[in-house]
Amino acid sequence: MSSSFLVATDLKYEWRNTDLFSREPNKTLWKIPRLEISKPGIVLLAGRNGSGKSTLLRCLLGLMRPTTGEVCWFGEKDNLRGKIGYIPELPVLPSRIKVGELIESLLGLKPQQLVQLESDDSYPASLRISNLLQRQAHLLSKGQQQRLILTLALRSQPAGFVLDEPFSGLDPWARTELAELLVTLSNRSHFLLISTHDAPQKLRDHVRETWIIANEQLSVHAGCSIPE
Amino acid sequence: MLRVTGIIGITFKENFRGQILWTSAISGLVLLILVSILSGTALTHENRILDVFSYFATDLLLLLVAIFSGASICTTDFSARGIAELYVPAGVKRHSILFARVAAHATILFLLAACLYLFKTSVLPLLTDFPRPPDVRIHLVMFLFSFLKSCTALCIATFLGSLARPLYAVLGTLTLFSIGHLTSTLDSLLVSTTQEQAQQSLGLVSSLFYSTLKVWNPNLLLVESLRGEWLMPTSAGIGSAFLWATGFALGSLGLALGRISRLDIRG
Repeated sequence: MSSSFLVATDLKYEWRNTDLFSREPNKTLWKIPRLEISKPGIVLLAGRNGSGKSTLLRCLLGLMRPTTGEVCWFGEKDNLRGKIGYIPELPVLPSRIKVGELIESLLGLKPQQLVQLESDDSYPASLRISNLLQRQAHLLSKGQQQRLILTLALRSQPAGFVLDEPFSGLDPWARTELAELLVTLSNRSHFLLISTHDAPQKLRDHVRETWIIANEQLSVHAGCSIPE
Repeated sequence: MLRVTGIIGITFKENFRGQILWTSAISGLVLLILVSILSGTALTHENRILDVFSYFATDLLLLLVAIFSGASICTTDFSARGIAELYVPAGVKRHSILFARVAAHATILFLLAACLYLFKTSVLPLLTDFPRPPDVRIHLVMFLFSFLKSCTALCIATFLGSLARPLYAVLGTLTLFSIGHLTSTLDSLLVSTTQEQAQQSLGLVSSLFYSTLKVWNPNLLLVESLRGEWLMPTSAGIGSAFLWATGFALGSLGLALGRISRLDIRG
């Protein structure tokens, strides 16, 4: 088994115009010869709007197929099996389903068990959702939905997390809480791949490397290289 | 497995808390009550027509619920952002998600069909003087065929929904089923006296697909029954129709499963 969390080779994504009535030419979003996450820590993914950050994350997670290339997580191809926690930018949760029911369906965890877990003082305050158990999941605010998705992802004890624009739309308190939580996770030997435009200072100080997509290429920089 | 049963549970709750299922069930019951009231004022031969109409309406209602449910599965869960975005990175296979969704919808259709047929066969004759066929088994066959047909529609709509937008999938599936229903040769079937004659009047190609046509249009059974006195279809006929329907349903589901494994889940 490979020691790297992620190895992707010869990745290329070409947007194809499939609209019969449009003459927009096909466009290559990015070509990446090699991509690797070999140790725990925070990796930021940055780039201008439309550069293909979310598409890259989705290709890495197997949600979308790259035009060419191969993605291996933990030395295996096409086998995530809950090893990654994915927090999408705008999660679409099932309608008319309560938070407690969603947790039960995804984790097999009864609401009472969650309340019991959260009553422990060591449980992170930014992840407490027991007050939302009776609320309909799709009606929660963005911050609450993110907390829910993070809780769901954390409970399956993944080796790492992939987060797509986790700070957009959050209030300043929630941003700080989330940044603290992500730093805590990276200190616990998790890797975190975060696509973002605006990383809070608390997070910037702990970034191991930054991947920047520009001109169809991906460049790797040490530390946080996103302009403030 | 836990997550797959979780998806089935979620689909049940989504549907039972939504308006579409209850509206469909209540519309079906109201329609059956109206037909029973009308049959009280009808002449003998009109009773038969009303009975056929009540079967047709129940059948159509189930078909519409199945088509609309199936056509939107792939779009809401896979093409657009949906539960696949949560479950796929968590290690649940795409085909498990689709299979769980289809299985849940098929169970809902079964419950809806059972509710309508039970009401028609058990409750209505008690409340009104609505005619009941002497052989109740024919209701069971009709129920089975209606359910199978709606499952076939569900699977075909799911497949078409994985290829095109839900609206086109609905129109495509309706077109396919209309071919079965609106066969011009149905008129000649009505004047035929035996199944053999009916098959002859359909022509060589259509007669090969007679069992399939029956699945698409269970009223053909009634058409046959109207010629005699509620003729019970043969076991071979029922088995053949069952096989055709299951084949169509599983084939379409297989194609849909193949399609979604290549589908991009976009943000």
